[in-house]
Parts: sequence; structure tokens; C-alpha cells
Amino acid sequence: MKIFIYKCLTGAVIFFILFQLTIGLAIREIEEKISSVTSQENLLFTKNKIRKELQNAIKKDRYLNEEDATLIKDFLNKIKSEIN
Amino acid sequence: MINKKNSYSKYLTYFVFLILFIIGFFTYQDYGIGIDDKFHRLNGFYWLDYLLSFSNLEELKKAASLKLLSISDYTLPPIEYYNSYSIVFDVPAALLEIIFKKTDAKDFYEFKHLLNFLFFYVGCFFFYLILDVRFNKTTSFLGLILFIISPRIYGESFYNMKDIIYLTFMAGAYYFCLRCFLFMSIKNLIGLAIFSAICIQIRIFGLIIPLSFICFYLISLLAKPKDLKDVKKMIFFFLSTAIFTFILWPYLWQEPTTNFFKIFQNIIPNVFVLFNGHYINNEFLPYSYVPLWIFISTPILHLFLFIFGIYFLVKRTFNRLLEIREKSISYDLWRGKKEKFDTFLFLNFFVLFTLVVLLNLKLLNSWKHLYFLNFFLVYTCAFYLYILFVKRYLSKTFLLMFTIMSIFTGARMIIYHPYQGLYFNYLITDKFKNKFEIDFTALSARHFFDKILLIENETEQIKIATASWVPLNRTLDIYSDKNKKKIKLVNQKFDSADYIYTNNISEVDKTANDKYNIPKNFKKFYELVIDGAVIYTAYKKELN
Repeated sequence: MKIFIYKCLTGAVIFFILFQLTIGLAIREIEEKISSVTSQENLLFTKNKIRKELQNAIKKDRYLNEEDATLIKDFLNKIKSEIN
Repeated sequence: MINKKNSYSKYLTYFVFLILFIIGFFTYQDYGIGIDDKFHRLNGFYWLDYLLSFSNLEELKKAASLKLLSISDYTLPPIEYYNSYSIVFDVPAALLEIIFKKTDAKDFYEFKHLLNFLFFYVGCFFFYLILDVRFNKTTSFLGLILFIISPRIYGESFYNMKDIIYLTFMAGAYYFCLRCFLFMSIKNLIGLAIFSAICIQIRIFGLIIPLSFICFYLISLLAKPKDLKDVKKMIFFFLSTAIFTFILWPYLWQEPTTNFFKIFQNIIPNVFVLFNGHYINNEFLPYSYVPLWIFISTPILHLFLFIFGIYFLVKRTFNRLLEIREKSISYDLWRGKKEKFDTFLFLNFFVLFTLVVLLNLKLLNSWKHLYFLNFFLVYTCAFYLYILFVKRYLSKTFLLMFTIMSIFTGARMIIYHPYQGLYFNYLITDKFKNKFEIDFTALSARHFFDKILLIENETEQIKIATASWVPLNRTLDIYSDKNKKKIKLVNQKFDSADYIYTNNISEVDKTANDKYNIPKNFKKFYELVIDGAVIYTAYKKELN
């Protein structure tokens, strides 16, 4: 009985450590990724990136190519007609 | 011959305690005012005011209320948010501030630093007593030296009003634990219960002491059922610990169970910390966080002895586990009472360290919250020294090496003065040191203000901004009204500042957030560097 108790205790400790180092670590990494995506830091980074892109777009002589411009124009007209 | 040696060690120990006291007494005013000082003062008066409400000491009550009302700081959250903090240091400090009529801010903060150091001094004494009971005079003397020349602990002993106080009471609790193992008397059990209750109050980690003490009793029952005769004493210990925890902690007086379970909520803020050159969310610290911090901020001598000490402890515990038989005449995990104490401390350390590292406890400010681990670290060093002593390997050459390395560590502590709490060992390069948080309690703010006030002696007003997560106003409190009026803190309004202070502590990821970016019209004006580690940098606005 005594040896059984010691074996159970040792087994539980080893299981806990192994669990934390394998599955626990994986869970932690997923949580960290989710947290970093939704973090204030990431939102700020994305905002700044959009701002930079817009500034670059303004500086360029032509941002969209003619084909895309026509496509977007037709699409907007279509939407407009449907709303009206 | 041995008696003669022991007698030398005894007198050397008295001498070390005397020197420690003299050094502490003459240097306590050199240390900066950390960001936690004001918060502890507020906590002290909050609880003193509450405790006095049960008494008839009208004058004292009035003085405490006035002091409490006079402490204001827009950077501090409401006291109700953190009133679960321990009263064991803060309330006596607040009471003494009234009794000694300390009205000047510099005066009472420095007085609290002295008091903080005296607590550490008592902690050293308890630690020495443990080693003295467990080992011999020579080993306990050497162990005491190692405990004192732990630079981070020594430095923080002047201003860390929580972790160092916990270390002191933990040493006291383990001392009574050892006494209980040697002789389970009611007096020793009461001593252990009181110290355990105080430890629980200071840090919830303190729960491990009474819990592991009871667990060890249960383990001893597995080997020797005749120990069941002590069951009444264990019940008495359990109840008295619970009662003392309740009595000594006014926070539990109303809604004890609800408030007790609230303690388990970690109130450390969710911030980014600079670790190994990267800003990491402290909710997801890597497993290497605590081990690496301990490795780079502990003297090489300690690390060397610890590695060998822990090897012998692990080996012995492992062998004992393998040797367990269903029926045996001795205990399973230990043979003698003193060995029981070694195993007890080793398992306490193992459990705490494993839980902190693997359960990803939210931490910040290096391993400050875990400074109590230094107790186990130095004990393990002393254990190894004792093995060397018993096996007669503690030769003159070894003692000479020990002395040289201790003097070397002591000399480095002098170089760091008064920033021993920010110590790094020789194993890392200067570049690597600056990849970590250094002056996390803004001790250097005092040095910065002194410098600015000296340079801008004639200036009517100096505007200072902070490019760090640091409330500089708490340090400014210690200056005269004239200087307080002279210095205007503008936080992060860099446009209107004359100077910018930064100690590189940031709660945001500086690589993605420009909150603390230094404007281009500011140039580096002064940098305090100790042993290659940048403590703080001051920038001055360039005049066009």
C-alpha cells in the first residue's frame, strides 16, 4: 500500500510536468497568438500600416490600374442602382 | 581543535553581524525612493486608521487620519484595490512615523528604509540560526556570508517592503519548522503557526509552509504509524495557523472566506516586459524567464555551490525513493531529523519553482517577487559546503578561493552602490545586460533630480517629461517645497519638456508603440552606467 501511494505521487508529479511541457505549452502558444492578434499593440501596428499605405497611395500618380478602376466603378454603379 | 575552530567562527559571526549593522546604518540614506514606497505608506496608514478605530487612543487616531488624508497621488489606484497587502511592516512603520514625529517626506521615507533593513537583519539572524542548528559553526558562518553577499537581496533590503519582509518571516518560519522536527513541542508549534500566518499574509506562497509541514507528517505516518500519537498536535497546529492568520490580518476580519479567496487573483498588471531583447506580454512569459533571471543576477560563487548542492540533494532524495520498502525500520524519504529538514526544504523549493515556471505565473520586474527563492539557493550552497566539510574536502585552498570570490563579490557590491538591487554577474556581457529591465523601481530618479537641480540652480522652472512607465512624482515628494515648485512634471508631453528621463521601463511594446519615442530635438545629455548596465538616460531639448 505504502509503495503504491509513493508510485501514485511520483507518477502524478511526472505527469503534471510532462503535460505542462507538451500539451500545456501548445495551449499556451495558441493563447499567446490569439492574444497578440487582438492586442492593443497589434491594432496600433495595423492602424499605422493602413495609414502608411494610404499615404503611399496618395503620393503615386496612379494607384489602381485601368482594368481594376473600371471594375470598381461598374461595381459601385451596380450597387448604387440597386440601392436606388 | 574543532572547538577552537568553532570558537573562531563564532566570533567571526558576531563580527560579521556588527559590520553588517554598521554598513546598513551608515548607508541607508543613499538609496533612492522606489515607486512602491508611497504605496506602502498609504497601506500602512489605511490599516492603522482602521485598527485605531477599535481603540480609545484619540490623539493617535486623529494623527493617523490626518496622515492618511494627506497622502494623495493620481498615479495610485484606490486603496480598496490593493488593501489585501500585508500590514506586518506597513502598520508598525506608520505607527513609528507618528511616534517619532517624522513630518518631512525625505525623513520618513529614509526611516522606513532603515526599518526595512532591520527586518532583513533579523532575517539574516534567523537564517544563521537555521544553519547553526542544522550544520556546524564553520558552515553556518560561510552560509551567512553567502546570504549577505547576495547583491540583489542586500540592495533591495533597504526599499523592498514586501519581498524582503517575506524572506525574513519565511526564514523565521523555517527556523521553527526545524525546531519542530527536532522536538515537536507546543511552544515550537505556536512559533511556527505565527510565522506561517504572517508569511501567508505577506505572500500567498506562504501557504506552502504549513501545508508541506502537514504533508510531511502524513508521509512520516506511512513509514511509522506510531507517529499517530502526534495527530492532536498537528490538529492544534492547523487550527492555530488558521486562527493567527485571521487575527493578524485585518483584511480577513470582514467576510473572511470571500476575502481570502480573492487573494488568489493575481493583481499584477498585464503589461509588456523587456526580456532578452524582446518585449513580451507578461501573461505569456517563457519558461526560461525565472531560471535565466536567477542565472544572470546571482554571483558566480553562489551558482557554483548551488549546482553541486542541488545535485547532491536530488541524488539523495532519488536514492531514498528507490530504497523504499513496504516494511522498514527508518523513515522513507529521510533518515535523521536533520536530513528530514533538508528534504523538506528541497521539496518546498522544487514545488514552488516548478509551479511558478510551469503554471506561467504573471511576473514583472525581474524575479523580484521570487526573491525568497534566494533562501533555498543559499541553504543549498551551505549544504554543499557542509558535505565538503564532512568529507574533509574543505581545504585551505578551497577556503582561500571562497574568501577571494566573496571579496570579489563584495567589491562588486561596492561598485554597484546604491544600486546593488540591479546587480548582474560576470557571466554576461554589457550588451546582454541592457536587453533586460534594469531599474524597474526607478531608484535612479533621485540621482536624476539631484543632478538636474544642481545644473539648473538658477532656472525658475524646469519641465521634465518621462519616456518610461514610471511615476516620477513619487520620488519628487522628498524634495523641498521650493524644488517641488521648480520642477514641473509633464509626463509624456515631450513638446513642452526641457528634459526627458528614461530608465527603459515600458509597459508597452516599444517596437510597435511610439509612446516613449524620444523626439529628434532632444539630445542625450547624461547617462548613468554601472558595470555596463544603463541605469537611466537623461535627454535635453536642443535650442534652435
